[in-house]
Amino acid sequence: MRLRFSPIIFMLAYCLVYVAALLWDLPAFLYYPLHGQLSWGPEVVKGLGPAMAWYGIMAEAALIAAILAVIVPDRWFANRLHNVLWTVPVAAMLICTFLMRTFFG
Amino acid sequence: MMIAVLIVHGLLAVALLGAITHQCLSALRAKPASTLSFVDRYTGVNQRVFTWAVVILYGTTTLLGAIIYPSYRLNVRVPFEEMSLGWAVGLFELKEHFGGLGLCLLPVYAWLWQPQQMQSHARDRLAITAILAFIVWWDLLVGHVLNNIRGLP
Repeated sequence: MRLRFSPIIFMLAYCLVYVAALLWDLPAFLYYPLHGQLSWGPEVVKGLGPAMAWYGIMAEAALIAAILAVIVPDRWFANRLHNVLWTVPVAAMLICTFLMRTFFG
Repeated sequence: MMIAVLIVHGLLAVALLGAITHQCLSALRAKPASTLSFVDRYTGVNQRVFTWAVVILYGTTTLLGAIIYPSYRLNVRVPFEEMSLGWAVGLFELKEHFGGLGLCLLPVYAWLWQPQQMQSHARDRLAITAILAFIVWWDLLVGHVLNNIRGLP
């Protein structure tokens, strides 16, 4: 079987996983910049200072999306999303904006 | 050291802004250049030549941003919270998430600008390029404003 990377599936899966991880607070790991330490999973370890989830969310989204981009055939998605591909990242950005609304309240 | 990385991050971001804006405006302007005005010269470029420059600049700028980020988290965000500047923290959160989402657009962006896709995906190509341009503009402006409020020590 010949493996082929699909940029369409990668984008769709990455947006989906990224937004889901943000929505349900599920980063693969947290980084603690004060001590330069990592902890696996979304649970914050007390006593290590502020935790950063961004790296964990991006790594998780990129890894899952890369795997799916290789194993999922993209013909079905490519046909149905022809010329509306752009709506997926726009929706993801709008959801991110909605989730960040508490900072502006 | 972080200041040096921040300066390079900013310079690369400006180069990226120039490249993606040039490409995006050129793609938006459907009609070919007819005169030699500034606008015609600005938009009358070969749009495809910008693609790999944008991909490399976006990737490098984001990587440098990721290196600076812990320093921001400790030395800038904490004071923002102490000064009750929730909106500034929120703007940075959006910068971070838009930047992260922009990364997943790069493969499809590069694919859409390949010669094989030039006839079939015009709307997607234009829209994805415009989204990337929006992200780059947003991230640069927010980064600039926040750095003016409180820069890295």
